[in-house]
Amino acid sequence: MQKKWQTIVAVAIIVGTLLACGIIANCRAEGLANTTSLAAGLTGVWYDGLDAPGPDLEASGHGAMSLSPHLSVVGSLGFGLTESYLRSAVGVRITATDVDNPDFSVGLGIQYRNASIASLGPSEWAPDASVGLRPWPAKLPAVTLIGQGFYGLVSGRAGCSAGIRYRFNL
Amino acid sequence: MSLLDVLMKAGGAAAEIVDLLCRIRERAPETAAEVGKVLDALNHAILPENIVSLAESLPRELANIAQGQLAPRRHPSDIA
Repeated sequence: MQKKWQTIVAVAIIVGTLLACGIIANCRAEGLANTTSLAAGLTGVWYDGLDAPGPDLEASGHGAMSLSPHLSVVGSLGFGLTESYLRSAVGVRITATDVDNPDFSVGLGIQYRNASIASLGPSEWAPDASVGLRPWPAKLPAVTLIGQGFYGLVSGRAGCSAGIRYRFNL
Repeated sequence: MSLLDVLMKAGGAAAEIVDLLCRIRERAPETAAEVGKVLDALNHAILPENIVSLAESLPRELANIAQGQLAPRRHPSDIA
């Protein structure tokens, strides 16, 4: 029985790796500038609940790879400024508004969140809703204002973040 | 948990942003018009019928990705 599961896992890893290589190769063929976004940001983070940690301010880096009109793979790394910590999140995001609007979108998705300190909660999957707005697309095209709400499936803790992003040209 | 479940839970998480936007609108009344537009778009995006329609369109896009047909877009919310 155990050997059967080992075989299934091994096949899944091989198929997943081949698929990932194929996707990356197609992204490169499509062009990094078209598929990939990199940004730096400053973010305020708040948590709900009586035992929740206080609000934090983070410096963060963000990456996203758009694979289809609605689907993107997203990730971020945050460094706490008010309290020293490292936080990461990786997942997928599905755009729920007009996919051809480069100035405003709402995304629904899920990310696996990790943090270097226990008070920010366990490593867990957390569904999230995100909003992005470019308020000055002509004058400051690289600047985006964001908001995100998330809910940890293990901790049951909800939170939200709001901040500003500077998108780099690739 | 199915894709639809994930999207529904994500829609639930949007309540956090709605709270935040309402507080911004209270504290900065001059932003009411812009905040109102964002709130309307957000509330529409998380309607159950919109989420169901989204979940139905995704398998086709996943099939295209698996066949190597990418159709990338620029979404401001991707870098949230």
